Amino acid sequence: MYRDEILDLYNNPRNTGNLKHPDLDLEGENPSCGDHLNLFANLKDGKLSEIRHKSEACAICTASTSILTEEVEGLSIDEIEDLDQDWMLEKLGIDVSPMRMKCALLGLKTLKRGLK
Amino acid sequence: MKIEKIREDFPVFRKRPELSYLDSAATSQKPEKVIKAVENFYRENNSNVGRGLYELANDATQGYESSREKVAEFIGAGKDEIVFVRNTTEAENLLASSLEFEGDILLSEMAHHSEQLPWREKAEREGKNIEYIETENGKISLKDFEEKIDEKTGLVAISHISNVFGAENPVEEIIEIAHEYEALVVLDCAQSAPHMKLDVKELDADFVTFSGHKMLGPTGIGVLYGKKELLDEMRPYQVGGGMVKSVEKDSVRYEDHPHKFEAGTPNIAGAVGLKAAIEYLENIGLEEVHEHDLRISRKIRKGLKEIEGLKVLSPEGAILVSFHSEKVHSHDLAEVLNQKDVAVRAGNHCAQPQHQDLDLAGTVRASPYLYNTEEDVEKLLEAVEEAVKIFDV
Repeated sequence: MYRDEILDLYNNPRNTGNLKHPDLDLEGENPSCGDHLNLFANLKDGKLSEIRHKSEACAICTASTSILTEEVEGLSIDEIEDLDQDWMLEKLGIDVSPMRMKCALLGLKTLKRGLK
Repeated sequence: MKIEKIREDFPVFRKRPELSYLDSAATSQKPEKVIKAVENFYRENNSNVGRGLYELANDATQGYESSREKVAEFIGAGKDEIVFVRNTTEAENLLASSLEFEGDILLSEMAHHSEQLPWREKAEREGKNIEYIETENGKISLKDFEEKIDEKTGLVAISHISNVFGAENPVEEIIEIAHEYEALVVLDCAQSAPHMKLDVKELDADFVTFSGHKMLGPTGIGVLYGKKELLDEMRPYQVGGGMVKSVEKDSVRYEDHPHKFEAGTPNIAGAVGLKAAIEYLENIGLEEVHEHDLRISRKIRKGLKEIEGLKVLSPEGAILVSFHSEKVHSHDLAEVLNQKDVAVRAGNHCAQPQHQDLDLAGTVRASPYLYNTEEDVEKLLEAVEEAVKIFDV
């Protein structure tokens, strides 16, 4: 499960930090296991133009949120709304056990909830 | 105590010889005798209890009630002071629903959600205040308890051994002081009953709760002990069949305790299995079990303390070991351990407020029992070392 790509994304997460006066300032949490993240995003012409995250979470959650931020920049809101569990897992590229599913999906769920 | 022989009694280790099961604080594995007792009940003695007048029904009733007797004897209680419930959680909910008392509630910061939420609900319903006793070095602080208890305290609900830290709390002192203030004491023994001999008369707690599944018994059967005179005053928790003396259109007379708290068909097979579990533990001897568990825990503690970057939360003398790493999230640690066939628990162990107080996102907990070997400990330590290495980039 902990392939080099995942570990790299965990130790050097992409698109971290925050944005000044973002259009979206979102918080996601899996309280029972201790994953916590913040997402900041700007929207322009119906598209997500910029996104940053701050994750205090496990490797699976941090890596998948990093991948998410890399993938969604430039997508339209409709396109993001179509992204689902299978998409996230395919991008993550590892087998995720049922108990870790919420770790892998926290970023995507938080973003989709914020776009509603 | 011959571990190899004990392990042979547990079918799960035949099926999974590679498994190092160190999550017994969540639930224990089951010996053949318990599994057979449950199977045998359904094969040979299955009937409802307390109702039918035929021989089969008598045998089922006798099996169920003899389990109650066994539990009573096991903890030094009277037979009519033992109420069968589903688990510790249900026992706590039953009390919070049926026990009426004047005054406020004192809980602990380390409280498992099941010994905290039922009382928080009650406090909200009845306008009672709640205070939390602080944790000091992994135990309930006696000093803070003495500062917080006063004449307004009506009930103190604490655990004998915390499922996060694993050490015995100073319950004897707490119970004695609580009684000086005429407060009732509910003692959650979910983590102590599997490992040590309890004597409810000596402890003098007003209520004691524990689960069968953590002490080699089946899931779905648990115990509420209550002092006779207190159970007698309490209203039923649920109403229905099997708990009434007479029902007329405009009046009901309920059974005496313990039956008035056992509405509906109970978990008969579960009770039969719990009796077999207690007999199994008694055969080995609880003192031997306790000693073994402490020895394994000590070895785990010692080994973990030698690994750089790890912090052990459990104090000396704990029957389980909670720890965390500054570099590796608890779920990632547990996942690497899983890949090495080591089963541990990770997260906040149903004690979120305590983890918030400690500013921890989660911990890893290794909880041994009578079937764990030194090899299990070595496997655990090797796997933890490897996890730390993987994440040390």
